[in-house]
Amino acid sequence: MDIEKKMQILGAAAKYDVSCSSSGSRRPTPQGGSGNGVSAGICHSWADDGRCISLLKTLFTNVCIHDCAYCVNRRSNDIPRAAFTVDEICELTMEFYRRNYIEGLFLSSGVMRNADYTMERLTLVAKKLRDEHRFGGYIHLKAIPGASRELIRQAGLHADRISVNIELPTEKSLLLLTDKKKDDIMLPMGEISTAIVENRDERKHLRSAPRFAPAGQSTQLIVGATPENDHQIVRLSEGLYNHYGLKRVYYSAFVPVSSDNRLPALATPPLLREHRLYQADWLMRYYGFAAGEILDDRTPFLDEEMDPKSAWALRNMHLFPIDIQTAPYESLLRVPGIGVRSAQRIVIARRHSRLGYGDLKKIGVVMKRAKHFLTVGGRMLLPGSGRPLRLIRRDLVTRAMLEPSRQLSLFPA
Amino acid sequence: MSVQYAYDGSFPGVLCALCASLGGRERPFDIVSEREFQPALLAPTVPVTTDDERAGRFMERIATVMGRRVRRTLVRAFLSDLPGREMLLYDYLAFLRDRGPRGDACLTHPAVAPVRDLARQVTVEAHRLTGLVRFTRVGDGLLLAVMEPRHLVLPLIAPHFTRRFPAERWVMLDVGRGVGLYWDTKDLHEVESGPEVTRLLNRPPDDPQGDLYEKMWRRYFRDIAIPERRNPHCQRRFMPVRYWKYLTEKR
Repeated sequence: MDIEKKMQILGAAAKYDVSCSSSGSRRPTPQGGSGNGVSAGICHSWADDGRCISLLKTLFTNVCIHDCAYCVNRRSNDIPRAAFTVDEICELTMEFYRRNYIEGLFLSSGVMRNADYTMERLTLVAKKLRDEHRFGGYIHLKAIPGASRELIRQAGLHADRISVNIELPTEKSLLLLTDKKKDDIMLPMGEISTAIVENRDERKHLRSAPRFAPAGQSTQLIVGATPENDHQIVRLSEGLYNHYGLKRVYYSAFVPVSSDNRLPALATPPLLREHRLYQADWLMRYYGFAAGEILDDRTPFLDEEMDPKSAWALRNMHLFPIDIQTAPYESLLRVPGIGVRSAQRIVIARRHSRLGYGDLKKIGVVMKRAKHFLTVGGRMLLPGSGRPLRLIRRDLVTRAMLEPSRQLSLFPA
Repeated sequence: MSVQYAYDGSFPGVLCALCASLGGRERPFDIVSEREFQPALLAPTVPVTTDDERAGRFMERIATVMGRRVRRTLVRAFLSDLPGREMLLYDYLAFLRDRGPRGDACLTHPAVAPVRDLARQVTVEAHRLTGLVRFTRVGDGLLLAVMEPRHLVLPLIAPHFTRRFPAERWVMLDVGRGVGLYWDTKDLHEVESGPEVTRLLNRPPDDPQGDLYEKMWRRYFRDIAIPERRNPHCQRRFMPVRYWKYLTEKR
């Protein structure tokens, strides 16, 4: 099979992997080679589905010994199969990179023969790119569940980022839809996380020590294929950030790729739910929110009509309004309509002058939402705002409920 | 009576004009490049001679007195290439002169906000283009990138590519402005539009079949989108249509 045909099969097969980030690495260009890491990451294109393309995202092979119900590459699926050679992937990466199509390579794979055999191939690609092609661009490798520790360590020494996909948020769902157990995923994740911490420590003492996955670890969860609620998902993510030191958790709205009766029959992927989960994820990573503040047992699902911060603010009106001149940065971050950037700018600008409605608008605050939560000199920023709840709510709603609610009925308790 | 300064359109030129005008207390009537120059009825015109050394000293002084951030803002706002930016720069510097370096933190002040805004737009476009620039092979191993950015971002993005592809020979052309940069693996050279550039642009492809990797990239671009998630609005928001003309995958 020629490389063009393989690319068609294996490139398309990788599209359900969400991560495409190229951030977090500052690798310098190797002597006599090409490519470097830019720590903010660079997007090179945006596909027709609006997702950014930063890395050449492809599978090494779509041959797989597993039969996971949600996966398009499952053993029992009747599709054309292909496998790259190590040299073919290196060549493709270098040629795409040289034309500035990509920031690097994101290599994942179906499991061919066994986990170690597959992991060895992936590691070999990274090694060859670094050593022979003197490639300094971004490499993201998927760790194959069940691969040996030593292989994963090797991978981390050449890659910028490593990820293991959790895919399903609970062991119950894993057992239902796959032949994997929780430990198959959590053990390698724990090992990678330990290796990253150890490496950071080592480099403190010995600056020349080789880096291990400098851009950290990430993972991905499928949303809507199994009956978990948002509260479970958000709590899981919080644990992954706090205890495993993950850089990112990606959420992927389930796109039906089979008519397996263990899976829900969704007409469209639950994109709005995915979007709200990302917003909640941002609140945890950049806005200082705990999972327990965003959702709890009484409200297990994120509000579809408004973003999770607005929903939180509405439930906590006793904390507002706050004063724009004196409120600490952390409180400003919690006001609907104020983002990280505008909170920072408010803190800078208010040192030099008293801020008013027009200033905040200029700074980039969404006043429609924020006006209900802010005072200046003891008075509401905009007289008449801040009550009643019904009017505040109206200004916070970003999307009227159009779609029928999530299809819970498919999963009788 | 306030005067109108005319400079040669270059960055050192505008610095000399700013330096000259900021010495006096009176706001000039205008600062214009010779390209856009029209004699004003009510203001006498003072031609500014560009003195690179003086411009350099002025920049140094801004960096030491006002901070390097202000210098950076100044450079980037100038590269926006927007007509009328010179007087915005004047008002910005005059405000900082009177108010002191901390004046730069008055983010919403009418003398500060527009300049910082311009600088930000330029930074955004420069970052965007580090991703959206496409190289094609035009023979002898030379890589060519053609673009038509809104702002003059070429000098900002070239260092990124010299770091990234130090061992490749490449040319980047801003065809809207007829300027370009050539990297010969050691130094960057300025390229002016002319017959040589025209020849470069019209060079027939090396391979009559077309570049295999270009073909594969186009196909890959199509395949990587999930059809159930089609979202052209989102695609355009991040990748405005004005850049598509030079994108291999969108041509």
